[in-house]
Amino acid sequence: MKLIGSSKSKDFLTGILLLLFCFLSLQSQERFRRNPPYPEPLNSIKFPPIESGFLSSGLRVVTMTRLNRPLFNLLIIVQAGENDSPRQLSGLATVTAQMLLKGTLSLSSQALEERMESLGLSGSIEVRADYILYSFSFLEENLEDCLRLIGSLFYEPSFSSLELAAVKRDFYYQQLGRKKDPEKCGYDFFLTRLFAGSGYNPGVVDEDSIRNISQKDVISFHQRFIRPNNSIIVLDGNINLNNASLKISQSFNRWVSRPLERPPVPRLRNMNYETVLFLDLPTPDVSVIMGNTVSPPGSDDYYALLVLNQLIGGSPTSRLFLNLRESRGLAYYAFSQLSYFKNNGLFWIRSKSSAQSVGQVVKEILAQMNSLPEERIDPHELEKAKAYLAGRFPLENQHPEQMAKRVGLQFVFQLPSDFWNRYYENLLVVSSEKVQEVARQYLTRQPLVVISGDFRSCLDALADLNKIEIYNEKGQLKAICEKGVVKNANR
Amino acid sequence: MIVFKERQKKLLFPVWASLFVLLLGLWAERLEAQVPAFPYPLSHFKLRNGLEVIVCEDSTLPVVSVVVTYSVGSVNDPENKGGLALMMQYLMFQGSQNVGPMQHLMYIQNAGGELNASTTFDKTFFYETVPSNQLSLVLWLESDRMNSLEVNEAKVARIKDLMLANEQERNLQEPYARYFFLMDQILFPDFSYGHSPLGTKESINSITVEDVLAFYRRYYVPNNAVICISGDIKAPKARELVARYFETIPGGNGVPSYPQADFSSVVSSRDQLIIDPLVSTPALQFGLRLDKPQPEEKPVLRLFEYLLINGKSSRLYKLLVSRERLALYLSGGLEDRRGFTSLKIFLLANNQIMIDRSKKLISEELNRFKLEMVSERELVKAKNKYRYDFWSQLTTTNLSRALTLSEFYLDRGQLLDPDNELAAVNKITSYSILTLARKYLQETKYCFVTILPR
Repeated sequence: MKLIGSSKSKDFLTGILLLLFCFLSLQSQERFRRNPPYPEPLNSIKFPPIESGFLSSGLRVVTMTRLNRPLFNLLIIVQAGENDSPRQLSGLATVTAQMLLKGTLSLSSQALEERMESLGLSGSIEVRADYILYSFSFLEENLEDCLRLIGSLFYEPSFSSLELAAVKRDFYYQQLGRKKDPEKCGYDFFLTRLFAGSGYNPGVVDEDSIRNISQKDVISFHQRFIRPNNSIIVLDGNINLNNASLKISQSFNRWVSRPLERPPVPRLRNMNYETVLFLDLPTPDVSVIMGNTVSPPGSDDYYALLVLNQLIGGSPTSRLFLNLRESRGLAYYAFSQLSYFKNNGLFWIRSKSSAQSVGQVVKEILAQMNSLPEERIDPHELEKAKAYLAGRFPLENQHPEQMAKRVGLQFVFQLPSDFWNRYYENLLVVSSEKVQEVARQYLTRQPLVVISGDFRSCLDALADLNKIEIYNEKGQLKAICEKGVVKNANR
Repeated sequence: MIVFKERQKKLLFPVWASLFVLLLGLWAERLEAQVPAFPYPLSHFKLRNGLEVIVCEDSTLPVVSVVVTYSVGSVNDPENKGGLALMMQYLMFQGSQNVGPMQHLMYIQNAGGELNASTTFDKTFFYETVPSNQLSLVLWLESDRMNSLEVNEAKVARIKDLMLANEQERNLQEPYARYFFLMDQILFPDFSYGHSPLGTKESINSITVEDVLAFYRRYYVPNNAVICISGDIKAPKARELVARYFETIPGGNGVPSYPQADFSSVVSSRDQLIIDPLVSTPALQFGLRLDKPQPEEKPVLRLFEYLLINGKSSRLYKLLVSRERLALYLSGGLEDRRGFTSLKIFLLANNQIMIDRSKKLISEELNRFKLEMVSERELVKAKNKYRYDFWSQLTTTNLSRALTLSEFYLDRGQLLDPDNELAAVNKITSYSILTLARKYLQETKYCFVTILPR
């Protein structure tokens, strides 16, 4: 009592209380720093209003109406690609596609570049096995002028022989550059072997055939495939379908349709590949590519495959990267991915390592693929994979061009109209049982394995493998290696 | 009659007036249509510790980008400690009180996000893009390393090794890179302004833990930083979250002002030849320093850059690549360094004859700007391309928008107003270009460095 009553003790008590208050306030203030905050619920992604219709030429017009954008994005997807290049003229689709941006009957290549920049118009091209994608972006105020100019590229390209020579030369050197990268070469070889005998070209170009492409071939490809009845226009910006259709029909009215018939693309089966293929290249690093076919996009397995891919190797937080690079230091990287073609899908893995560790890399990847159908998936790991995919999806659609492309390809791959709007809904219901079911369906057979690099440096590391076929840069069989013993293929 | 006329006048006046107002309105509307309004609400606030915050709302997608920019760069490297600002950028990923080394990266990647960082002459950027429900995570991570970065000998040693290995790799992979820094040294003969931001082997090795900590305490403080949040977030919510994570971080005790340079030594014309066994193709570098351009000259300079070298229909591209076929590759542009601007051009050619011819043509083309007015058509083209790039930066992704807004705020001390920026460019005439060219393009200051393989 006395103590409490005295002024000194009062001061003392006040001091203690103040200190306690400060301590407590500091504690509560800084407590949030100790652990990461919980995320809030993720807002679902809503694509802008999408409308679609056809012009009398057969051209499909799709609009993504977005108000208040000072720029327009315009995508033209021609449903023809490298698969449509004749076998002896691979690369024809790419060369023809590029030639459309190299001048018209009224504008030389330079004049065209000048005109495009004058309108604040930029363009790019992507050529795949099944489609050619032109992507343009321009100022809103120049919509009509830009549509007129873009239209003229499609109905009156000049295909000048001088420009053709330059396009072929650039493309040839680009393909030669690809040959120096063991991963790109390995992937091309992997695709060639996987689709061998199907009559389908998954987009692999032989650089030697580029020289054989003539002006006549280019004109013929344009006449046959680059037609409105084989194309889709996606216009993304401040416009509705009626308005867009009117403006596009005025600008593209001279682009005439032609009947087009093509054989259907065969569906490949998921097969067993007993022999490992080695592409012998003079490179210090070694790439491993392996994989097998899966169902095409839009199938019931699509979302389970997305989760499976993420668990195995979709990102640096997936099993392959963490195990092969972070824990064991065997590879520079290891990732898996899904690639889609018309009527077919691929699940494949790519890894780069030193020659000494390539044997272990192959074994480890196979072990990871084999374990998924058998071992129980940790629920936390499954949820982490789904959370990653859910978070990644809006980021993948950030760029207006990416979103327009997703919408356009929806028509190419004949996906349901609400396919992307139901992404979260479909992703969140994927269970570990479903993932294991698709793993059993697609991962239990021996995948096609392609290793590319210097064979001599890898020989010791691969001595355990039963049979390896060794190919030269041109993809010709030159030797066979059985349990570390190499025999010339000619014997 | 007169009465009638008077009455008529009285009656007609409101008609004329309203017609005039209507026309004025239409005219104004037309002007507005030419410069679309910025479609994303923009706001700004400042915390008590001095941290500046910019919020740009865009609910198109559930995505948000955060850019934390510290007003520090290679210009702040102490003498003989070149590379310290860049080292600091790397160390910011090596862990803080509540976040382990490289965990920052893992947290963002697990959320499906992306991140990166970069150091320039006078700024250091850290940026993340994540699904918008993870904004708190980003602010938590950024605040922790602003508040309590943990640095020790081992971490500094690891980063030194990394920087030296990168330097070696760069010398092999990009043999021309060192000549970009050589041009900086020629144009800016002063350590702070002219040294390589990558440092040298000696300068990197001389950096100590104490240097790092002093640098961190001096510059990595709230009152030397700007945070820009762009994406699916409302300003009040952003304010609440930023305050939660950053308000209690103490401000620094007075951030040193930028080193001022006075280049009394005038750069005189120079033509240097270097033989380098590491390069495989002959190259040419051009450089010109523009001393202290006025703020109102900046848009003119920007347009001049478009006319000269930006795009395939720019004068130099058409001349050197398309028409004369001298250059295999051509790049260049303007670069700002706190009050100074430099014009740089780089090209690759097949042989020395082509390099010599290119030199002559570059000089001639620059001089042409001083003698002839740019045509109206060429000017309109440059303005359209500029406008396209401007809107593209501001509307393509949240990250490009946040970076643009942050940079603008730090350079000008105010929020970017797109209408003002575009209006300033729209006003530029051929005469503005001519005046600017006559003021800054002095042949006696052109510098060339030719790099030839052995």
